[in-house]
Amino acid sequence: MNISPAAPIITLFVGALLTYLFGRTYPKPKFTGLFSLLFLVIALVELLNLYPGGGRVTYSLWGAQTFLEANGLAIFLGVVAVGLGILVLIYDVSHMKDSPGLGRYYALILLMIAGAIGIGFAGDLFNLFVFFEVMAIPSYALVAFRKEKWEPVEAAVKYTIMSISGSLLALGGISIIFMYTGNLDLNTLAQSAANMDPGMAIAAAGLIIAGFGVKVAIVPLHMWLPDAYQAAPSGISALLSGITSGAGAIAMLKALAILLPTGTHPGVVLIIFGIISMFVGNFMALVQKDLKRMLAYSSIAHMGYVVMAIGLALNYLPIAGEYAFRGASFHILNHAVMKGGAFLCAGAILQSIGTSDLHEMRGIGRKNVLVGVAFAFFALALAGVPPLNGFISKFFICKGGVDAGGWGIVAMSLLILNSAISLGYYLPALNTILFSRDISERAEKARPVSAWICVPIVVMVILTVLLGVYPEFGLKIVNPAVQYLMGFAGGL
Amino acid sequence: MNLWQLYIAAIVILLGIGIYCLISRRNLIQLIIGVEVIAKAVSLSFILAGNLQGNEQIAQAIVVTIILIEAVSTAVALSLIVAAYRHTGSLDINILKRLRG
Repeated sequence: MNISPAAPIITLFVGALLTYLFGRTYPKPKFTGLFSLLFLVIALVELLNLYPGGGRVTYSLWGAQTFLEANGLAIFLGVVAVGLGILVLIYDVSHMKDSPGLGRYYALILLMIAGAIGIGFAGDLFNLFVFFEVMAIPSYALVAFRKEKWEPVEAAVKYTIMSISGSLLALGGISIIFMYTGNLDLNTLAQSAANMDPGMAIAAAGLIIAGFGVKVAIVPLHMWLPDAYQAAPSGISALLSGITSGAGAIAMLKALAILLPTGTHPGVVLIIFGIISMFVGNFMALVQKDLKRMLAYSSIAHMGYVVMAIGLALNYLPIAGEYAFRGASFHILNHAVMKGGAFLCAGAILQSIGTSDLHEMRGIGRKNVLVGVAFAFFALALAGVPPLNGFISKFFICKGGVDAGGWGIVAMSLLILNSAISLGYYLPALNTILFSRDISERAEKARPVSAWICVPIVVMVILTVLLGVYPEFGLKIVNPAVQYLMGFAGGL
Repeated sequence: MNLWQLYIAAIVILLGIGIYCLISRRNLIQLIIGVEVIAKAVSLSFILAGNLQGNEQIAQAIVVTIILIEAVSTAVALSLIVAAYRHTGSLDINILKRLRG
């Protein structure tokens, strides 16, 4: 069947509207969730139909031609976003069942996922920015969804102000590119950007890194992230860490790649900030007492790995590009699976004992065996223990570093060092949850976990093992993305 | 002095005012105003770019979209600030320090 590249995005926009109306007219929370799930499944089918890419749609907006393009990268990001979205929506059927206004909640989730897909599909910088905002604005409201409590409101205000300023900076960078080229089409922009003034190209690259960097949470711009992930509902934390930060990294990559022919070296900056992010994320995670906050800091470290891999790829494109891009894309996929799963486990524990304080969780893994064992899988995968999936993508990034040689090998060894540091907090957390001798009072009275919560967690455990033991399964969608990126950044 | 140099000066001044406002102000509403001023600087730079490059269609499409996006995100931000005000009765930025660590 031949479908338009715009189809998945339109499906989700229509779905968001209908879900909101459905939630208003038929206030039975379970069915609202399942109704919105329907649209995500349709979008997934459409995306798989577009695989492995090809096709471009042009539409006119206030007199300007803009493009949506179905390439390997777009399909990859779309499948990751929609796949994680489906699992989180199944989870939320039980996790969010007591909250009012679920029509709004599910509609905003669909809009956020549509924005993330659109970042992949964007064929010009204008669309890239618009979809970046379509992804960002619902996430502000979703973080503050439980606005009757103080913490979500505080986290959301911080997040909103930082993120709006950041996206305006990125837009400023885009305006500098536009000032010198008069054109925003990603396919032709690189040739016209080649004769940009080098000073202005550096300014544009700096603004783009700083602007999209707020969403990716590279380190000096990460302050909003731990608060937002801790205070948001757990399903939203999973979506934010799995989808929005990965999509932000891809938006940054798409905008930076066109500046390569101008003789700027954005890759060096990304490698340095990636390494700083890993260290700060991992060291801050070591001292956390709250499970969700610990996972949030570990997200900063993992995005540091991705940003470093993108930097390696952009800086040593002909020799190291392939493995570094493969590592970065595969790590975005794996991070969505394992960190998403870890946040869902944290949410399940939070729901059954009423707190996410790590000390209060002693022995919960013996009461809720499934959640405890699943958390063990996710924690070990996040630390990069073979044969789980986190190991494979870190291995690809390291291969990219070795290919690059020189400073690439230094960067690679720092990544391995950081994986070792990260065991320093995953293992104690695992020990508390699963192997603790004494069981805390709250864990003793823990409520059983519903099947709606167990199913997505089990699926994620299976994916964690499968992507580690049989990486070809994941490479099926990663490789077209790598091919596209090599052609996109390398053909310039 | 050319006209576009005046435009550049206006962009730089607006950007400076916006960033100064974000750094120096302690009131949440004033922070939002600072963000708005930065948005105006960015819109103006797109208008200038479109004019210099003779590609006004893209420039006008982007500027209209920026205004739209900015209105939506400001509405969300202000509603969050209202929620914060209902909790604490204050608009000072110091209320945002309960989450730490």
